[in-house]
Amino acid sequence: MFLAFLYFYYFILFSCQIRDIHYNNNMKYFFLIVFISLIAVYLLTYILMNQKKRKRYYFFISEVFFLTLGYLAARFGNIASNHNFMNYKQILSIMLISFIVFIISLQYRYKFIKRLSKRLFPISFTSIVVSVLIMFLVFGLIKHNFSINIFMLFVFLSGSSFTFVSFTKSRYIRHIVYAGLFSPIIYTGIYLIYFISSILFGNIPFNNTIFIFIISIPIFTLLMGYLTIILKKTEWILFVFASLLIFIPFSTHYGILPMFIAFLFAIIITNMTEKYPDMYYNMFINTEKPAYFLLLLIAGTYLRFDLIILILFIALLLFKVLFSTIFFGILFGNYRKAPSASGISGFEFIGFFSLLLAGLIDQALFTGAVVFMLLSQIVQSGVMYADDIN
Amino acid sequence: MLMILTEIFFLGLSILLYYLLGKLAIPFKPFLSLGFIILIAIFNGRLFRRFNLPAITGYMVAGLIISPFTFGLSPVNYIKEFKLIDYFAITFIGLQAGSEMAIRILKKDFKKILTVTILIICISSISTFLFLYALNSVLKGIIIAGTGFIYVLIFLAVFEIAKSPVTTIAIINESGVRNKFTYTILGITIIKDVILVLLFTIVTAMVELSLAGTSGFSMIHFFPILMELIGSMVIGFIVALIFTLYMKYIKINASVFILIFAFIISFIGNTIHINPLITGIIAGFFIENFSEKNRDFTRILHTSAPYVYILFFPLASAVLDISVVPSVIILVIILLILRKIFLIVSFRIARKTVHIDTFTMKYGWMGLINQSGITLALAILIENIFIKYNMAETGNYIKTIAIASIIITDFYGPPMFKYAAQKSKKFFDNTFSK
Repeated sequence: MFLAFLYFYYFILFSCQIRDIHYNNNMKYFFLIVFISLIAVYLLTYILMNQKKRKRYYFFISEVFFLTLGYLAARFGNIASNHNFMNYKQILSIMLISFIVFIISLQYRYKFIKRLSKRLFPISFTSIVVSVLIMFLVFGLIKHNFSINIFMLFVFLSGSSFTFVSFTKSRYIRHIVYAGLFSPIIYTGIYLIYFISSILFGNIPFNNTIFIFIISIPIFTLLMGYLTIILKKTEWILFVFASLLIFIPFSTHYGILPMFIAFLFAIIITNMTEKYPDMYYNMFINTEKPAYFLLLLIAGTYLRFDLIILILFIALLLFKVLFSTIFFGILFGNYRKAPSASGISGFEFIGFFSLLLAGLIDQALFTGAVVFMLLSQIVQSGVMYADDIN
Repeated sequence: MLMILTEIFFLGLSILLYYLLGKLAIPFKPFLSLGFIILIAIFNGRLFRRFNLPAITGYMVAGLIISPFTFGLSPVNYIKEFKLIDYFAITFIGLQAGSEMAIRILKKDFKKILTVTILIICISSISTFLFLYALNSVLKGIIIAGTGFIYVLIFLAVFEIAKSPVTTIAIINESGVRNKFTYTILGITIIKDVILVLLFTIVTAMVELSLAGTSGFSMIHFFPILMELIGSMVIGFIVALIFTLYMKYIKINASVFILIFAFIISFIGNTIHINPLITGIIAGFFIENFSEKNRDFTRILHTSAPYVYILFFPLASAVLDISVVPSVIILVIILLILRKIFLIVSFRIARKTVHIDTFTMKYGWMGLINQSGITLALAILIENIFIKYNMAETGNYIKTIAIASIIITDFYGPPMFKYAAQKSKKFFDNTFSK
């Protein structure tokens, strides 16, 4: 039901923001395409999910389908020229991702984290720091823009493995996912360094308002934690939704990544209360795929094919495959026993971050990121296939 | 007591923050407004529940708090940004209303319900018209002045039969009372709503003919109305078929599918002139009675309802201009008193003619008080008609009365129905629970 709520709200918000809806015929085409897509995707689900062999391709095909759909809708509906639509598309994408991040991050419960092997952290940390340094250097040479560099970095580092988690019980994939468990914390650290340095170098103006805003985040989060105890389930979900609606415009205005606010909200809340562990789990399982598809639909409208960027991203992919081979070689060389059942599903939401952020900066960059992500998944499908054979 | 204070604290904090932060120049402010509207509605709804009042009344009061016409917290254009939510909510409520109309339950008392409804409609509208006409003649136009007074009287008489199925369903869901009494009220409300739409269209067509000075009267004037009605029913049937097939064969994320589909239907309905309420009712009715997936469908609607209500009711009441109330307060009070009297009379006559039970005779009127929902839409339509014939003042007057009446009835109607529903638990079994 939560899923329905999420879908419904985003869809309705999305629609409400297109103010010239009655006057622009192109918008009717856009809605028509969305409508047909809704039917088509469920038929696709029906066809693909009813056979085990086809099930493997379901996710990849769906991704391509939604992206193409978004792309076609944007072209036929000509919404790219609609200023309002373009503006609201960004904020809705940010909200959607922030909500996903919130739900996923609810799994960061101390009692689960402490059960994980301590050996995972240094491996994860080292690999990320090394890759950060290398890629920062590489991107620094290509594009002399710090913001773009750091986002490209996220794109490169992102994994899409979490999207597979609920589709496979593969032991190997689970290892990969567990290895990425510390990534969000490390990325948060990197982002904080970036944010503080941006303030120090004057890229983000620091004044009283931003100071109050930053201070209000933990205070508000503590209030949220308290309210979790007293509110009903429905009210609590709406409360979280409303909080994100309030904080996201501010964080966008002050140049703070909204996803990190969502991350912070979730960590504090999940550790403050024991009230809804099952609900968190269900939210995670239910939200994962549909929210991602909805995001892809919006993302599809950003696509702009640019050959140079595509070549760059394919090169990056090859580099990543090489890098991952070395990384997992180190990891599994040192790590012989599988992590015990910790109750935590894997997640690498940085992939979502990067897609969105790249989209906010440059359409061609975003297209490259999308292609990169899809190619990554083909590689991962290969890993799954190999694991199935083994 | 501590919990009440906590809720008051959070409500106050939300309002204060909205007041302070709403002034800042930041991007995407409608989203910020929506966030605060939800927060205020949550806490106000909880607070009202603490005092055994319906949460939806709390949501509506929250709407007044954030309204541009009271404290000016939300600018008018922010509220209008989310107008499509109204269209969706009407379809959703229609689906809910239709899904409550199980033939196996209705067929027992259908004749009674229909007779009571017809009695109420005839007595309320005709008596109101005659009473106001007489009053206006005696007091020499002191209540309703001007040349268009006869039109005003006609529409006020039509409004007397308006009743919101939205709040009725919301109260039934909230109180969890599903017995013979609540179902009789729901049945009356739904039939009244359908008849109201038909009656309104006929009356409007006749008034328009009169305003235009057309002497000839032909059935062709009713063709668009008939088409709208048939079109809504056909689309409702198709929607029911699609939902059933979906729930039977595909199953995955049925709730998502239903909600988005309902939204698209309301959007399309708005552009091709089909009535979303009737479409929803027909779809819900067919699924409830002819689909094996009716229980799943009802469950989806039932669990989605709080999310829809918490957004719909504040936004619906936020657009009501409360400042108009004092200017027409006397007339509105007269209308409300008439409404109550004629409802009581109707139920008493129904007791004698079709032998309704004593409880419904005594408390039935309490469930038929509030007018929100369709009344406002009709009032806006009326205003537009009068503007077309250079009688904007008359149209505006009718709209003002309608708004004032909605505001007042919305705040005492739902608590009264909740009270009656709670009381009915002693007299009837909750046998209609699904």
